Amino acid sequence: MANPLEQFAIERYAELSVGGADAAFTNASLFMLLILGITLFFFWLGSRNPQLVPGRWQAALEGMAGFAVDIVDENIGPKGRPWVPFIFSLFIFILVANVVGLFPYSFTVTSHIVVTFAFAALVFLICVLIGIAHHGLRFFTLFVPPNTPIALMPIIVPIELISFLARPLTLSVRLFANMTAGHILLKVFAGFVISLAAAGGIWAATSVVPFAMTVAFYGLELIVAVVQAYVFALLTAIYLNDSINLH
Amino acid sequence: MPDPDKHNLDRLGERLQAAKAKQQPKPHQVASSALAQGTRHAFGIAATTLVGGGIGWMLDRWLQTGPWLFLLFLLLGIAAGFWDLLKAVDREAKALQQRRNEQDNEG
Amino acid sequence: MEAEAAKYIGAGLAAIGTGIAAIAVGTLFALFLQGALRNPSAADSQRPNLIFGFAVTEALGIFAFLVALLLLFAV
Repeated sequence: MANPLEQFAIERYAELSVGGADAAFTNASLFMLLILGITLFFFWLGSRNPQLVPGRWQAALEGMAGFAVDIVDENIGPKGRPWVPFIFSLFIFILVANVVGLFPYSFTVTSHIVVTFAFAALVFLICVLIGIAHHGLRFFTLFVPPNTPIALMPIIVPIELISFLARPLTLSVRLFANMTAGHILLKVFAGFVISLAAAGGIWAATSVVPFAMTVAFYGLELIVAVVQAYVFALLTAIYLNDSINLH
Repeated sequence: MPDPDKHNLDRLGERLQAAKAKQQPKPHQVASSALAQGTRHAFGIAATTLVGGGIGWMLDRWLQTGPWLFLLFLLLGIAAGFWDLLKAVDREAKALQQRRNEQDNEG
Repeated sequence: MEAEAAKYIGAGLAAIGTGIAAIAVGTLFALFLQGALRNPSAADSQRPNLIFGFAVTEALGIFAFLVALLLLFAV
């Protein structure tokens, strides 16, 4: 049976090095450029002839932008308006990356912990830096919930600190684990179809069962792809809210 | 004319049903929303445990204090996860209470 | 027995804990749905308790899974 893990292999297409660090052009880079191209293409379609009463592409684009504005408004409030492009870009990139990975023979960019950790580290750094920029050193009062008796502080502050530091970990591992597990399962089911069909005779007839399961699982994976992008954007907005509006 | 009136009444009935459903979600909706939030926090407890354990282990290596700091931070990590869960459940209970007060005030 | 073999056996034994957590979560939701069948309008009021119970149970199951992973990859 084919190896379900070789879909995650990185192939280098061109060697490049940036200041001594390895920045080779890989299939991951190629697919990221493809995601960028697809996104720009759909945005171009949606904003070609802007009308007051939107056509279909424009309405779809406006719907998605409204979705991102809703996430920011509900979670950060009025101070969050400058962050709408950031949340929107994160949401769209991860959504398109997850959905592009569902096509046969393609590569899921977000199924590598490096990529998801890069996003999560970016969000975490931005939260800390923006918190310090907005509130100075009072940002660290985030770890002291209001109405805490002084006696409990030596326990509560390390606890809050640890749960704050766990955020980039959960953010990155959630997306990575969902994508990787889903894709491995898809390949395993698909491999069953081929193995059963190749066995010939009565086994070939039973290969319809894993085929039906693969189809059903694809539907689930599509839902997971969209939900994981939404959860990433929503949690980013929540963490930004913690930094901007301290409590 | 009965027809437009009946049509409008039917539409009103549908909107009332939708509003009531939003106020009182069906059991399977409650279960699946609890499943989603609960999974996030279950995963959060495991993550804070790992982070606490990692911090404790690195501090141990740096300060050469045997496994004690590791165990301490592991326990702190577990507690942090449960703390997050308690805060979220508190928030949820308060939102529920607020919704119930609004319903009582309306009805 | 070599350490490698012992690690694999230990990981397999630790993963049994995930199955026990599955039974616990199933029991929890079964009791919730049973109560919801008798009193559907009160189902929403128990949402915080359901979240809390499920998260704690699932966390313990994830701990068992973590022990298995640690044995396989980190020891």
